[in-house]
Amino acid sequence: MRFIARKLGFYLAAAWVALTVNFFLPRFIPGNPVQVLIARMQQSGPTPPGEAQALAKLLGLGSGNIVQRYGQYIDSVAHLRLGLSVSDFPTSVSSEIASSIFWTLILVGVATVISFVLGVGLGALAGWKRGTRLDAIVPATTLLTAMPYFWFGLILVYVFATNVFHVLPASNGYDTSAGLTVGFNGPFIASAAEHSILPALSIIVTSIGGWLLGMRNMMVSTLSEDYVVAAEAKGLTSSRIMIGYAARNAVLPSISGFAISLGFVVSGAIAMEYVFSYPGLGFKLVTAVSNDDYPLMQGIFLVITLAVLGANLVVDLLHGFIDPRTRIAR
Amino acid sequence: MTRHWRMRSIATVAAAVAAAGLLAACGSGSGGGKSSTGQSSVLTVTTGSAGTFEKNFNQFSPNAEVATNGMIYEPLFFFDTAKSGVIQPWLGRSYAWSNGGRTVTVQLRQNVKWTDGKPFTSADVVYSFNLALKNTAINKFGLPLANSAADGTYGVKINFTKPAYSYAYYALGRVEILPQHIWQSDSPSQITTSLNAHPVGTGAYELSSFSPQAMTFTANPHYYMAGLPKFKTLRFVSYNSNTSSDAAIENGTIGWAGSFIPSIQKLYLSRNKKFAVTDIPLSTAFLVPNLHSGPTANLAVRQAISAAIDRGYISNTVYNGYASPTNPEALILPNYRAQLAPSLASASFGTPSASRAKSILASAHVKTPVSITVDMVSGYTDYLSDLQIIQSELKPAGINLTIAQPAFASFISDQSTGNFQMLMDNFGYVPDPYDYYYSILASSVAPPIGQADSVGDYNRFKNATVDSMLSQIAATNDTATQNADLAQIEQIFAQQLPEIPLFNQQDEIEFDGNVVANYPTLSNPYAAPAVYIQPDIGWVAMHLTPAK
Repeated sequence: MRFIARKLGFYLAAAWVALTVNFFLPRFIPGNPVQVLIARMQQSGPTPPGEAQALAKLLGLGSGNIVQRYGQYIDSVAHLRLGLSVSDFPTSVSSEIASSIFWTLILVGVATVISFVLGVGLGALAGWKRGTRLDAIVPATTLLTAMPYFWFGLILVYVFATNVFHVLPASNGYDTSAGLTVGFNGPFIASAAEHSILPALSIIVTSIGGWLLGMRNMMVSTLSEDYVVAAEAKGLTSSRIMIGYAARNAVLPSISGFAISLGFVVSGAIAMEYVFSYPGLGFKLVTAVSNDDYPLMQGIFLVITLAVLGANLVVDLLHGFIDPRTRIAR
Repeated sequence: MTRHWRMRSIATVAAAVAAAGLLAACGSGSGGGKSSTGQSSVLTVTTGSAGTFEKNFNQFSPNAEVATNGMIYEPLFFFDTAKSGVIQPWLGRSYAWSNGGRTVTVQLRQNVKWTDGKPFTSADVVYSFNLALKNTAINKFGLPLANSAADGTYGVKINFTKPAYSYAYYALGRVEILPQHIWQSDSPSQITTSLNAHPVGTGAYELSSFSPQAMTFTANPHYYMAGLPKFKTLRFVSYNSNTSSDAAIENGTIGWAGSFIPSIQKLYLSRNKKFAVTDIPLSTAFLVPNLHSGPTANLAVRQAISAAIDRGYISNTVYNGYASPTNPEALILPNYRAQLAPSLASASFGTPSASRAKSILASAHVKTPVSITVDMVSGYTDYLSDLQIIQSELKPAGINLTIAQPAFASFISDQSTGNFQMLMDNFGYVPDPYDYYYSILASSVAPPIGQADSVGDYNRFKNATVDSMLSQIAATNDTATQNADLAQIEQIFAQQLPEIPLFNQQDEIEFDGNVVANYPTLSNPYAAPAVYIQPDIGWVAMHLTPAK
C-alpha cells in the first residue's frame, strides 16, 4: 500500500511543522506566566518580595535555553505528556482538555451534522427545482451566513432568553444552580439538551447557507450530465433520478468538505462558547492565551492540529477508495 | 485574586447585553429570593469570575479555588482587610512578640478538630511553618523564617532571622495551617503539584460536591466557634462571562456576588427593595507616571494633571456614585483612619480646574502642549471611560493624553519592566497601611527599569526618607512610632505625587437581602465582603445569617 505510506509520511511532516509552530508562537506573546500570575494576585493584595521566586519555582517551567526547551517539548509530546497548566496550576493539561472537550464535541459535532444534512438536503431540492420559488432559500440562507456570528448569537439571547421571551437559558452548559450531577442521568441530560438549543441553533443557522449553496450548484451542473438525461430517457421516476443519480454524484465535494469541517469541530466555535458561556474547548483556549499559559495552549493546539490532520487523512484515504483516479501515483 | 479579569474580561459582551437590558427595564422584576429557613438554608454564591471551577484546593497553588483559604483552611488570626488594626482570634487565641521582633509566641485554641476527627495541635502549626522554611516554593510570602517549635500541645514559638513585625499579617494572618497527619508523607514536589481534591481542614465549611460549573460546601457540624456557621449550605456557581453572571444576580438567583454590574441602580438595586450593594474602599486607582523620563518626570506636570481631573464627575458618571474620590496622600479611608496624619486631616485636591493646571505648568516653565501616552488593559471598559473623561479635562490645560490599550499580558510586561510613560492601575487590598505604601513606594523592591519587577513600585520611585521610614516601621512594634512614620510618608506622597491618586477602586459586592443578612457594610466592616478576597471570604461566610 504505497499510497497509504506516502500519505502517512506527508502527514507526519505536516504534524511536525504544526507542532513546531505550536511551540514558538505562544512564546512571541510578551511577558511570562509568572508575571501574569503575580499581576492577577496583586488585584487582591500586594505580593511580598520573594513571592515571584517562590511561584517560579513552584511552576517549574522548563529549564535551559530555547533549544533545550524545544527538545523537552518534542520529547513530552511524543510521549503524550502534556504537563501541568499554569493558569490552573497544578491541574494537568490533559484533564483541563478532558473536562471541556466533550461539551464542544457533542454540541458542535451534532450541530455540524444537522447543518450538513439540512443544507445538503435542501440544496439538492433547490437544485432539482431550480428556477422555482424554492430557489429563493439560496439568497435567504446566504444572508444568514453572512451575518457576524457574534451579533447573531446576542440577538438570539436577547429574543429567546433575556428580554423578549424567557423560554430558553442564556448561558452555561446546564442548569448549574439546580444541584445536578454531571453524568449519564435523566435530569442532567435534559438540562444539558435545553441549554444546547440556542448555541446549536446559532451554529446551524449561520453555517447552513454554505452547504446549501455548494450542493445546489453541484446539483445543477450534475443535472446536465448525459447519464441524467439517459436516466430520464429510460423513464425512471423523478425522485429516483434526483436522489440516486444526481444527488449521489453531486454530494461528493460536500462530503470532503464535511469531513474537514468535522476536524474543526474540536477547536469549537470560540465565538459561540464566548457568547453562551459554554464550557467548551474554545473558551479554554481564550483563557489560556490571555494567561500566557504555554502548556495549556500547546495542549489545545496539539489536539486541534491532530484532529484537523486526522480528518484530512481520513478524507484523503476515503477518496482513494471512492474515486480510484486519485490513487494513481508513481 | 483575579479581580479585573473577573469584572471586565468580557466587557464587550457585557456592554452589549447591558444595553439590551436597559431596553427592557420593564422585564422581570419578580426576582425575589428563595425563602430560607434555619437548618436547610442555602446561599448561592458567585465570584463573578469568568470560567469554570477546577477541583483544586491546594493552598500553595496560585489558582486554588477561593474557598480554600478561609473556608476550608484557616490562619492563626483574622486580620480584617476592611478595618486596619482589627485582629481576631481564629485558630490562635493570642500572640506575643519577643526577642526584638524575632520571635512570636502563639497560644492556640484547644477545642479544634480537623474535619476527619483528629485533634488540631501545635504539631500541625509547626509542620506548616517548617514546610515553608524548608522549601522556597512553598514559602509563598517570602517569610524570613529561622525555625519554629512547639511550646506544649497548644503553644508555638516561631523564630525569624530578623525583626518580623511587618510580616505579622502574612505569618499570622495568611499562612494557613495544614493537617500534619495527612501531608507529612508527601514530598515537597508532591505537595506543590497535588490538587488536594478532598481537602481536610479546620474550617467552617466542607466540600460536599463538585462540578466545574457548581460546587457545594456544607457546614462543618463540629465547628469550634459556637453557633457558627449560620448557613447550612453554600453553593458556588460559575459563569463564563459577567454577562451571564450579571443576569443571574439581577434576577435574584444569587445571594452573594462579586460582579461589576453597569448602571447598577437601574439594573439591580431598583429590581427588589432588599437587593443591597456594599462598596467598602479597599484599594486606590492611580495614574502611575514614569518618574525618570518624559514629561511626567517633572513634578509640575504631575501636579497639573492632578489639578485638572474632576474625580467626583468620574465617580458619578462612570460608577453611579460609587468609587468616591480619594485624597492627596492616597490613604484608604475609613480603613486606615487611625494612621491618617493630623496635618492632612482635611487635605483635598481642591476644585478641579484646567486653568489652575495651566498656571502650574506656566510657573514651572513647562512648554505646552505636553504629550503623554497612558496605558490601560484592553477591555477594562470602566477605565477607558475614566481616561476619556481625563483626556478631555487635560486638553484645555495643555496636556494631550493618548490612550493606549495593550492586552493584559503585554500591559503586565510593560508595567513590570517600567517601560511606560503613564499607566492606570490600582493597589491595595491589605489590612495594614505599611504594606500598602511599601508596595507602592519601597525602592528596594524594584530593580532598574528594563528588568522585571514582581513586587511593586513600578515607576521606580526612590526617596531616602520614605525608605528609612518604611524600614523603621518594620523594625518596631510601637504603634505611636509607626503612625508618626506613616504620617511622614503620607506628607511626602502628597507633596511629590509619585503616583496620581484618582478614586477608591469600586468593589461592588451584591447581597440579596431576601436570602442573607449580617453582611459587612461600610458601617460594620467586620471583614472585606468581596468573594475573591482571602481569607476574609471564610470569615464572612461563617458570619452571614439567613434572612428572616
